[in-house]
Amino acid sequence: MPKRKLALAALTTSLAMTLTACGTGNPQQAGRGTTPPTSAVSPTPTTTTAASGPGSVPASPTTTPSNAVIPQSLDQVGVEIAALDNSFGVANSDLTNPQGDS
Amino acid sequence: MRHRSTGQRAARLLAASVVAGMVVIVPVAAFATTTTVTTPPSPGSTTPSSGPTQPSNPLCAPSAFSPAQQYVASALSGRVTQLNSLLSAVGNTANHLTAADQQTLQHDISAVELPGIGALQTQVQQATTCAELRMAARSMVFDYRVYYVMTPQTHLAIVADDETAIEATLGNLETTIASAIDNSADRGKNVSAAQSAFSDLKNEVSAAGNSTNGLADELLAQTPQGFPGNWQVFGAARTSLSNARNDLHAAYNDGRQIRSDLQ
Repeated sequence: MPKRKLALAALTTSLAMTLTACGTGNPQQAGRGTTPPTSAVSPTPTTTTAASGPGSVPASPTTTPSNAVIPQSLDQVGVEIAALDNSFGVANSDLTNPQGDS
Repeated sequence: MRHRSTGQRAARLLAASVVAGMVVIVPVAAFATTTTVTTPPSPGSTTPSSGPTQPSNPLCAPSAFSPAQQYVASALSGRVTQLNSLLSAVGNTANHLTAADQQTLQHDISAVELPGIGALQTQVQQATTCAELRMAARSMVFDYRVYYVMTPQTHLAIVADDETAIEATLGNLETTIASAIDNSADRGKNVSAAQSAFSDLKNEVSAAGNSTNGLADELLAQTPQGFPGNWQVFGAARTSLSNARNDLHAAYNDGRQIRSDLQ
């Protein structure tokens, strides 16, 4: 009997975790059957769900709004533009003040 | 100078000429059949102030053969150093050269220029006459154009591909920015300034793309034999790249403005 109760508890837990994952893992699936968003360009959240194992508590998803991605990308552009400035300076110097004689 | 009778006097005169800045490469080009008299181009000039404009004024006399030989050897060694520097820049993964452009430049530098200059080094070492030195010096200048063609060609091509890469990065970012603006608008935020900056950003990226379109291919098509005509190509490329660089700076500042507005 205790084994049956244990198996039932495990099955219930597994079912609960599956339902939780289905509810948060895919926004498109979650949205099926509901009113579509009015905005033509909807934000694309970055959803991260930690893998759950036996006995673990399903982690709540962390959603990053798309405007939070801008700083990272812009910072990278800033780095590349700084490097470009250096490269352009070298190339410009080749023409204004050639190093060699021919 | 052709009347100097000893190697020492010739070397002193050579040094004096260089220091005075009057004639930079007479000793090198003098060994060629025509002399290239070079003075540093003025800043902003689109053409080098050199060309085969004067008849040869040979400095290489049998009595001054050794310093002349050393001078040409030194000039060749300097070109090897420069070519290796260019090869290093081409292989630098921090640059955004396309694979094809990188391959083209690596081939030109390592399979054409460096072996050619290396062969001339051997010729100069084995030379026993001024005629042989002249032949090697002429080839060094006219066949390889390390400083006036290979160098600007390589550096400008790197800039062109770097700018193209940044244009792609910003272009990909446009979708994210549009979403971010819409997202903020949905939350009731006033995004009119962000939208205006975004419109400008797209225009700047587009303008940069127009400036750099096809530029790398045009640069890589230049050859040492095309000098001095291709100096105009390099000058025009610099102008286009400068314009694109300004556009990309403006686009970057637009992005920062948008980021600030949405916070």
